[in-house]
Amino acid sequence: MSEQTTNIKTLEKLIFEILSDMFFVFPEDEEPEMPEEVYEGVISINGNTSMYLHFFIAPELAKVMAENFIGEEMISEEDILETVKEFVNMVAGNYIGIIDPEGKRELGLPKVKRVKTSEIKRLTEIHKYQVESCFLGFWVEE
Amino acid sequence: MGFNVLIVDDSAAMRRIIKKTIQVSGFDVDNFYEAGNGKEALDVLENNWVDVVLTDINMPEMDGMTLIKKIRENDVFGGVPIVVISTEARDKKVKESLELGASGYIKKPFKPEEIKNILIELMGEEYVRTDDEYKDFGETDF
Repeated sequence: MSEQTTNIKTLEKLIFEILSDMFFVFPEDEEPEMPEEVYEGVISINGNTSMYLHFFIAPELAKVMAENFIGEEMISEEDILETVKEFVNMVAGNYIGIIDPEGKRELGLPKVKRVKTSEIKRLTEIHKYQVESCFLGFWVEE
Repeated sequence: MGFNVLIVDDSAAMRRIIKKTIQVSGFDVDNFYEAGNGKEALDVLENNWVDVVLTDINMPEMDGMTLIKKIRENDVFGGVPIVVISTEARDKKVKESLELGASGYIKKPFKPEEIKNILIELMGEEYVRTDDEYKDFGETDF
């Protein structure tokens, strides 16, 4: 198995663990349908070489994640953005602990925005999943 | 009489979750103060009496490591206990924060019991209410 495949599998495992443990949403073994818009979260891992982890979450899924995470039913757009940011931060924070246990690389700050799916670059390279009947994807930019 | 807590995290959602965790754990807290980064936290500390600081590491403007250093250098509030709550759990980061003067380290995602236990250790059991209405969250991760 190539290093890239191993990293993707590691990320996939972490994403699923964090989704179920923290946000109480679960992946399904179905082909996901791409929504018109998604929340895109990006975080950098910087060292000798930099990489960027991109996450794409359907608005309906992000809302459920925020409701479950914060534990309230009245969720604002700000709450959703912060929940996605925290999700990105947790996945990346745990991922850097696996790929760089010696602490040579530094984690950047997560950024989140809502984008039209048609505006996403490298759409074909996104790893796509269905979670709670909604779309979730990620892409590693190296 | 209870104690005063300062929660430092750039995510308002995470600050709410930490605050809720402390409340539901049954602690007698007089004041919850919040800050979105290290700079804001120093402002709070300069103007209020704080008994314990719970801080994230990865934050904009002033990160948690710098905040710990600045707190420990201060003649007035330099002795306040500081608990780090971060997705960064690499040995190097944990060691660095403890060497700078952090009193404890909790990795995100955390269990409510972890916050409860460390607060009991730092503040004492006398601050925990025993009323039936204050029950543990159980095994839920946050």
